[in-house]
Amino acid sequence: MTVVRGLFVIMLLVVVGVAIVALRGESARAANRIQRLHHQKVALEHKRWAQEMELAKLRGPEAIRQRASELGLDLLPPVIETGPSQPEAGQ
Amino acid sequence: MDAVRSRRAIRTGQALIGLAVLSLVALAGRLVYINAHQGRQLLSLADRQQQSVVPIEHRRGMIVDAEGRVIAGTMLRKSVFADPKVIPDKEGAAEKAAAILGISPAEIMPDLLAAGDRRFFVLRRGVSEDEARRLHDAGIYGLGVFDEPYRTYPMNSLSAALVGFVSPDGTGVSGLEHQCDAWLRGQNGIKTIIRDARRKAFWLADGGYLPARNGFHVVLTIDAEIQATVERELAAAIEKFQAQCAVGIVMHPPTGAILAMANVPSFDPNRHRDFGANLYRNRAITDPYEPGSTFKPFVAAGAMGDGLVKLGEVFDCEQGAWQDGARLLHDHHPYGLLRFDEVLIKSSNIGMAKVGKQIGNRKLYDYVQAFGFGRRTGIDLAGEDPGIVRPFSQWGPFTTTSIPIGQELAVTPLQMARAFCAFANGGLLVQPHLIRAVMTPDGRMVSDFSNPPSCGRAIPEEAANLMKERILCQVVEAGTGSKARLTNYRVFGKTGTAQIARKGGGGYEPDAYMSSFVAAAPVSDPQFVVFVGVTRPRKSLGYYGGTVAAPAVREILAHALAYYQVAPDRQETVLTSAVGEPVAD
Repeated sequence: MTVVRGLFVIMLLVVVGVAIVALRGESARAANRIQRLHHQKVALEHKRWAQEMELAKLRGPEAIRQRASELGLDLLPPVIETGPSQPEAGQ
Repeated sequence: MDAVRSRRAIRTGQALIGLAVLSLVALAGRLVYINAHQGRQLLSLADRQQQSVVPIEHRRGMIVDAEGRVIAGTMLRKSVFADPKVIPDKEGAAEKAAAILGISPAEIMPDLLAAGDRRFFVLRRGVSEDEARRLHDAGIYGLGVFDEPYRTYPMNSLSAALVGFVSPDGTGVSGLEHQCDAWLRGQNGIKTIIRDARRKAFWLADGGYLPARNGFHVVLTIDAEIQATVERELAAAIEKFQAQCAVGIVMHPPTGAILAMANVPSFDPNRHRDFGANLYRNRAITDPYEPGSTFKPFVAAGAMGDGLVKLGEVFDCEQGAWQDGARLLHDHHPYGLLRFDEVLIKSSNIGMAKVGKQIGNRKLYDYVQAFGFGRRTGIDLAGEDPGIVRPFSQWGPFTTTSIPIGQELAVTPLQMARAFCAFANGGLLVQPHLIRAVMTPDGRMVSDFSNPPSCGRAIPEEAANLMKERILCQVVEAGTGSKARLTNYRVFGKTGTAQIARKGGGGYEPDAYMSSFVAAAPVSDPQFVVFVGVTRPRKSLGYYGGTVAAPAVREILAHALAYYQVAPDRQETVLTSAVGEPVAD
């Protein structure tokens, strides 16, 4: 009976030990995955920064004007006719 | 015999057990000693070997225009750092790095040698991806490449003097970058990484992650499209009249929002060191000038508001020359009798000087104060100049005829544009402002500045409307500002041609003028006030405000009215395309 009980305790200890090791391993893998995901997130964020700036360049009025002229487009709004100028009358 | 053997075995066993116990006790003692005396030191040593704290760079907030176009933003670039303390051969390292970067070793050697035992300094900023990779592959001990945030201005010189720039460490130095630094600046985060035996990042330490706090975004009232138009027109005016510089402002009179504030020539804040520091100045708020004739409407409106002058009152303009005591006044064209409105429409100095004598210094001073001249407008920009209005105690007889023609005082372009808004607003002064809102990085509103408080009334509503519809409108329709006339919108404005005063006093510089024009449209419901001032146009090419500045104002108004699809207020509306053909419905 004592031998059986001893074996049971030993087995229990082994199971607990294996479980702890397995959990520790899983936790390490998860932490490693978090670290990699975080790294990817930062890299993607930085890529987004660059793309936002690229978009900002393209949205600039002068960039649009230049691109339109390269494409032979007339993007100017309708021009309001100006009236005939009066002769210079003073200051 | 067996008993003897047995006792010996027992003794040997006891000795071995005793030895084992002693060893265990010694080991336990050693453990206690290490824990008690060296524990902290060894733990910190282990931490240093296994952990590293890596900063998480924050992103400085963006500056965007009213339509969300980015004027200033932040991105990353590759930069080279050095750890001079661990570099065994600094000359050799500098030569190798210089060869990869395509520069002379002399460009980096002095910095590297001067760095002494510093553990980190930036050797070269903004290297290419290829150079960064080659430098990494070269494995020069003590040199490395890192991602460094840097400020970028995607629209280059657009509104440069207004937006300003930052120092290499990302602190706002001038313009809005400086003014809004507390909002734009964020805070770096940190992460503590556990590394494996090969120093490869393995996992994040428990509680070892503090995220970066990115800066807030600042939303301006500026519209980049209008800003670009103003800058283009100012550049064209400078080129045409070979002028020194020009300033332009577009305001929305009902709210005081600044839609454009331009200085030409300008600079590119992406490489601001390549330009002179004088270009960094936002002359619209820092450089007061003597306004000349553009100041006449303010005196006239005040006098009309107080009933001191009637619209149909006649003034003798003395055929262009009038001796008032020791002072001889001239008009640019000889006029005889002119009604009060004609005095302004034809911009007669003599007529206005006589108005000044009629109303007296006290009232003149009150009108100058009522329109906000001589004190800062309170715009949300640092470095604003209050202009020059001498204390009333220093006003003399000359002042009586000087102030009505815009002399003996100096105003900033912003003060002029803001005061002119009062004619568009039925006499109400507005608070000029550039910052519309502050937003969190994820788009939530932090502060809303789009409705600043009113600044009170400058003149009665009736006087403002009379001035707008009966006088200033005629300045453009049939007076000195006719080059700003638009066919399908009624415009009201006033020209100014002021001589530039000598620095330190003593009269005016010969042939040096500030040609200006301030106008608004449409008369029925003014949506834009535009000021253009061109400094030192070549006299032989033209120097009157109506010749130099009015055409630029007309182009700016035409573009802004069409861009914002403002309803025309004149019957004879004809829309044509940019090539001059009628636009189909």
